[in-house]
Amino acid sequence: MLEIEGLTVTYGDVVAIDNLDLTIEPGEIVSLLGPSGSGKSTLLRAVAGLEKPTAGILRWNGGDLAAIPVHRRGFGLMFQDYALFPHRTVAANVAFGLEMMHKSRAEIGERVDTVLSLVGLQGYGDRAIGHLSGGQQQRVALARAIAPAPRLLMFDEPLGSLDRSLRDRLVVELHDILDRVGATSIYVTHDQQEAFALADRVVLLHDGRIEQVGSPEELWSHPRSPFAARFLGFRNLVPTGNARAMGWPTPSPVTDHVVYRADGFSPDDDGPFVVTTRSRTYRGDHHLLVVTAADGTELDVVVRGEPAPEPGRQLRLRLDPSAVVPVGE
Amino acid sequence: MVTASRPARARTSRILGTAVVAALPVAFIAVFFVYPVGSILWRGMVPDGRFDPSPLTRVLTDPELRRVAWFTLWQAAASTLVTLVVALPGAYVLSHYRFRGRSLIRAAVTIPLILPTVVVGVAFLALAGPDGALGVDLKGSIWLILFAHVFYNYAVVVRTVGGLWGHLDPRMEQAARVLGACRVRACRQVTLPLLRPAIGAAASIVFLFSFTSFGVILLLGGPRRATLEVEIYRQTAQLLNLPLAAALAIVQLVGVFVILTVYARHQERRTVELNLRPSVEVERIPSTRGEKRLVFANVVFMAALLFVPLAVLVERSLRTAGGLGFDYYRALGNGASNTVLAVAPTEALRNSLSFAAITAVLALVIGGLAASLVGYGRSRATQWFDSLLMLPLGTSAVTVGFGFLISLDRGVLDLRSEPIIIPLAHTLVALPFVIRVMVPMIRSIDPRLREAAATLGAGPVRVWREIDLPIVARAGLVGAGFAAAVSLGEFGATTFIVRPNVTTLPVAIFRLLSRPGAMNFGMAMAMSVVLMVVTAVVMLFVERFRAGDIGSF
Repeated sequence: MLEIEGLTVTYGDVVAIDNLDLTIEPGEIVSLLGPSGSGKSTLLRAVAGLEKPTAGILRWNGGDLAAIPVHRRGFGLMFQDYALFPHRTVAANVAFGLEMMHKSRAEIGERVDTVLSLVGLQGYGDRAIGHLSGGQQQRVALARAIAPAPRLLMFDEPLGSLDRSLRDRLVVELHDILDRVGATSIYVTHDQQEAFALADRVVLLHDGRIEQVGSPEELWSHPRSPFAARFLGFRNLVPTGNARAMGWPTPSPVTDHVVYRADGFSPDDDGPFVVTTRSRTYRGDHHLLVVTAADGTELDVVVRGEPAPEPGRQLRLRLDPSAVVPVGE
Repeated sequence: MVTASRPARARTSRILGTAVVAALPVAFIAVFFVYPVGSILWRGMVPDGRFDPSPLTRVLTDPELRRVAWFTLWQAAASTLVTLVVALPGAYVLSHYRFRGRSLIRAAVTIPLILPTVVVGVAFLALAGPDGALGVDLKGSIWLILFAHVFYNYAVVVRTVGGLWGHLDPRMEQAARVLGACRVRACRQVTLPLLRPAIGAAASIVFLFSFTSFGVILLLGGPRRATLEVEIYRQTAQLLNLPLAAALAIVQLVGVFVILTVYARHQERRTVELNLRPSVEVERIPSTRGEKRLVFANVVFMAALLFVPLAVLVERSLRTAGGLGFDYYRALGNGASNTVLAVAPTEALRNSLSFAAITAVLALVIGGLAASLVGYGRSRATQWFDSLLMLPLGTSAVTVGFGFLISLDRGVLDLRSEPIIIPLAHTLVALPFVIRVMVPMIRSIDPRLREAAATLGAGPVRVWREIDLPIVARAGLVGAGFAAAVSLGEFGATTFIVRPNVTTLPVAIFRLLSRPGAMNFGMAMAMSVVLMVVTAVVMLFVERFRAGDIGSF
């Protein structure tokens, strides 16, 4: 169990982590989600021992980590852009952590083979790092991090530099591997889809503080702040007062803001939303409309199938009640 | 049909153009490098018109000469080792920490690289020679030679190794640490192997410079310490045994060839692809007490290493029998002929300046042509040409001078009594530097700039004038400045070919030092200061035109 208490990390005048508390249970996969500069990588590096906390306490199973140097913590870290050793082969990269544990040569060879086949790279042991594709390097980095069977596995935006389709595939694989390894994991990303796909619990960071903690479903169904809603990709964020004034549905219990999910609308002559279409963009399987309400509020609306309305026309919309998302307290 | 012949014609004219541009540099290298070196080989192996290996076998068997070869080797090895040991921490500090005054120190450590060898020798004599400022006479001791070589080569390690170290991904070492390696182990198993090409290259260069060191050893070594270079000089100038000198030069050439091969190997081994990072990702401000101490200790060491010998030199040039004063400088300024120099000291300065100017022009023309060929060319022929042009870099100045002496003695090439022979030798020595400075600047021109200019309506000639010319012209100025600096400090080749009635500043300093007397010594000090200042002025001029770090070396 990892306990973080009142952690603060500063660089000169810049506060990267601001008095942060967090506990991570054994076997849990926690994702640190946030925009760049939110302090998520710094938090990871502080846990690894690569960054010295300005204040606060880090505990592992009750023991203070402050006096334990990086190389004795027994935590695995997979770096952004991997930081693979270019002068070592694939197998020698994976073996590095095991060599540091003074394992016998036979043990090392066996473990390297096991781990390489776990990540789907059996037979790649003798390759040079420079000859691997981005996706293969990512797997080697993963294998290197899990080979010593660390007590805690950490990932610093491990898929950041790969293209979308490869990312989507690797997230599924990574989820599978983490399940099998069963280690406690912290996964840093700025991509909410990755976080939701992998994590038991998502920690949303903003300016070095925790904005919201919860399961992916909790975050998705009730963002605790306009920032959280915007960062999770919700558009159509409206102050509840404005919505009520126009007679739009509002959540109960009442919150400060409300989100109307863009895909929850459909044109309906009896719908409560009276809007004017501003623009229309064709998106393949749907049209995206930008519309304005009577008080000037702009909304994004996804329209599927039907002949999409012309810009400049008035339009009435109906909304699926499940697309009304409460935001804030 | 007309269109079909067009590529062929374009090809022919391109080859013709290349040949015209290449003609002058190739002819220059052939006459002033290949021919003299060939003469050395001939003289060493065919002394009297038929093959006679006795000078060569004598070099290899004579215990005295074997001692010289052995000393040359081990002092070079020791110099390399000591330089690496003291300069690697400096390279680390300068490439990893941001602190006030760093850019000043970075610029300052390269000063010794451009100082004339004679000035360095004189400075160390002033420091620890007979009557030196330290109060111990280390003249003739290996320590003084090592010290001077460290002073000279510190910047080579700092620049070559620091240049790579400062861009190595710090996460590489962090990854090793997270995987359980302690600091020392992470350094040994990850950082050092990654730095090996740079360390190998730096070590080869330091070894080469120390192996071919002439002026420093001639001044500091005393009579007992002779390297191959010094021995070649002694056999030529004092014992007039040209076949033996030629045989020594052959051994020297073989040694240099071996070192350059090792160097090339290290360059090639850069095959592991390093994920280099911008330096801002690597650098940090020293924060812990340990880091602050490390930075402080290294900065103090660098300042002492650089500053003390030069400060002592200046102080000695001002210290006269009657306290501090400008007596020695006044003695230099007086136009009367000096008995030791056979000419007035001002004449030496005037000669040095005019030789430097001629060298700058020659090197600009020949080097400029060669550099444009190499810089714009992409074919295998231009690569081959590039390595041909680099040959004189490895060859020691003494070999160049000796080769000139024994080869340029007949027909139209009888230049022995023509003063032009001196700037010609200087041009040969400076040429590789000029090319090394100009080629990267030419290559740094982003081809998209030319494309952008062309799409904006500039024709090929206009594109060259607007985009290339400003950069090429600046590269040329930098190259010419470098050539002038090399010429001002050149000593090894000049000593062989200079006539008694013509003298340059380095030669005059050496002549003054080889005579006893406080006046001669003081004048040598003052002249060294003058030479240092003149060189520094030239280099400041060069720096003004230089773009960032492009073309260092």
